[in-house]
Amino acid sequence: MKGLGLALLIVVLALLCGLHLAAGARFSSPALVFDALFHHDPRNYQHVVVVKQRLTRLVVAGYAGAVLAVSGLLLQKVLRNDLVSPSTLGINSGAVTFVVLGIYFLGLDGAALFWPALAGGIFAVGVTFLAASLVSQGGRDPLSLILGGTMTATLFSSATTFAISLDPDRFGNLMGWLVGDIGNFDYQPLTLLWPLGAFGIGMAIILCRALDLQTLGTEQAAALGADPQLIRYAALALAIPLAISAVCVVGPIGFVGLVAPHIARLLVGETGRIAMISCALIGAVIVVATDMLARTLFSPQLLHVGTVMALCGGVAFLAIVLTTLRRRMA
Amino acid sequence: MRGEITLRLGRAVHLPIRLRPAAVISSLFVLLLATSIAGLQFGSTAIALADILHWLFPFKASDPETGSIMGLRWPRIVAALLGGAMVAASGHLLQIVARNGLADPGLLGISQGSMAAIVIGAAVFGLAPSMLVWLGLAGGFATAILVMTLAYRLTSSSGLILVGLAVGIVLIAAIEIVMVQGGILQFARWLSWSHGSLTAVSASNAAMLILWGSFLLPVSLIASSKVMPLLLGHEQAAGIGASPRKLSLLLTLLAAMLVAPVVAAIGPISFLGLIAAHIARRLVGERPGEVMPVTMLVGALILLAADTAGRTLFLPVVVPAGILISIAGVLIFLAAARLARPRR
Repeated sequence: MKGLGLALLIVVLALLCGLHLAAGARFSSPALVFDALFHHDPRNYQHVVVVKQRLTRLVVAGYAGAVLAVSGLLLQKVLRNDLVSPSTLGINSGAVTFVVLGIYFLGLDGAALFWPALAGGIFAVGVTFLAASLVSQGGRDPLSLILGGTMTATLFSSATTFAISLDPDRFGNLMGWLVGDIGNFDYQPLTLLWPLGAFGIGMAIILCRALDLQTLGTEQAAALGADPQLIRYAALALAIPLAISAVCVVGPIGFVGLVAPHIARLLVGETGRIAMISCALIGAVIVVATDMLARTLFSPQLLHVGTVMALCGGVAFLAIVLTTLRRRMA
Repeated sequence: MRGEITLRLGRAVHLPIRLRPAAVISSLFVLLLATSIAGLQFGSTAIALADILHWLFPFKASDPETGSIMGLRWPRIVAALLGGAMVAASGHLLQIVARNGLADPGLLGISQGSMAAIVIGAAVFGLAPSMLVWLGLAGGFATAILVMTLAYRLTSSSGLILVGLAVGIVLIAAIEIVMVQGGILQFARWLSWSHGSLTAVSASNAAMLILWGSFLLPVSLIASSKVMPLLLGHEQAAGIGASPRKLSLLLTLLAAMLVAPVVAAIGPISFLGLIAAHIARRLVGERPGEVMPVTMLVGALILLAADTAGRTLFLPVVVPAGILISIAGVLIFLAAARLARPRR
């Protein structure tokens, strides 16, 4: 059953990738896409479009989706809360604020922005936990963590707006990134960051079993021989850099990390390595599909992936909040 | 009862006046007056107090330079005063309707609903500014009804807020689609408007706010003295003869009406309603008839002070008022959420 779900996902992802390469301002036939990939002719303009523009976007979208989804699943497991994700914990907005400040005050650019982004993500998680503990006073209400996260996100987005209003011209080519977008040159930071993503996903798959024990509760996990504290820190130490590596490449794309684990849970269940791998695949499917939608929905007008994702993801977030609340009342 | 004097007019009329609210209201008025004058006085060019008084009470013709600077500053001050009072009143009404001390037009998505309707009306259909307020009103009211219906019967107080925030996220995304169509300069302008900024307020904006405010603020004051039954909960309210459903609907409409012109002129000022009502309740207790005027005054004072501070303290940098208020608002939200929890 689980294997079937995984196989299904791989087929869907492969089909979607083919469709992504073919779709665009000008539809390329499958034969052309095949030729462009395997009998590449650098003088054929259509081949160049497929490889240089669409393939690079496809890789970036797939990477961002997979990494954000794994990060979301890690966070959901370790915090035992179905509503957390890199965006609902404020990690994305914290990273954006620090990147903007880094550009403004330190003049950083390119892959060097990973460090301020990482610092911002960690700082934001800290603020979120603090805010949540203020709201909940030690109670274990899953909603208060999210409320804390949203408040943190508001705080950081105010700071970002302020920093941009200081000197809008300086952030001219950052506009797409600020709302989350996949550009034609986004693969450049990815060439530096992909080992981090690969390592993170690999570690997540290895840590899977220990994390599943964690979901039983701290006492049970300890009784079964796991070290809950260590696992918790390890998972956080994986999840935050994973999310940040995606933010650095494509900007703050929200809700993949929230929605993908939920879909994985419906398809292949909650525990085990297959769930983790499926979750990564689902994340990739979501972002690739969204990128395709953003490019074709209102063509020739291009939309940003982050915007389309916020539209669909916001609705999904609403649905998840409502079901969580209803379930608790029943 | 102590802290109360009765105004006796003949034998029939006995008007009890509670001292505390009266004292609070009059001292807030004094503060507002002082802040307004400070707002007129300071800026990139400071103006002597005497000149301002001459401009306010034209005993003699003021010099043209003062006149033109005042012409730029007064719309901003009027907009801050009225906008602050209206958003704060809207927040307080929503808190009564939702029976939730954390409600606020910005947090429930109502401001975002107004904003989305205005942005789409202006950018996509190219409507005239006078139409936009009505459009914003429709958008805000529709969002309010949507959020309240979705969160109906949810017991937890953070549930309503989260539903509102989620709806707000979807609406902001819809606005972003329009926002990113222009260049970065326009994007930056949209961005600062979407956090609330008084930089671009013109005399016609101020006139529109005066028009709406002079009708809506008295209505809210009158309405607030009628809503006491709602505080008891819907069953009890119906039990003593009020009609909670109709009253709630009307109050929600009023709350949306209060927000729409402010969003059109200044942008959404999130958290202002939350902060102002919270401070007002601390000052005068729980009676809506007394809390409402204090809330309005506190809201006006906060927005004016935030705008004046953001405009003068960090020169040459100008911080939009909405940003200062959001930052203060988040902190107060957390404190209020902590206090709102039932004591164990």
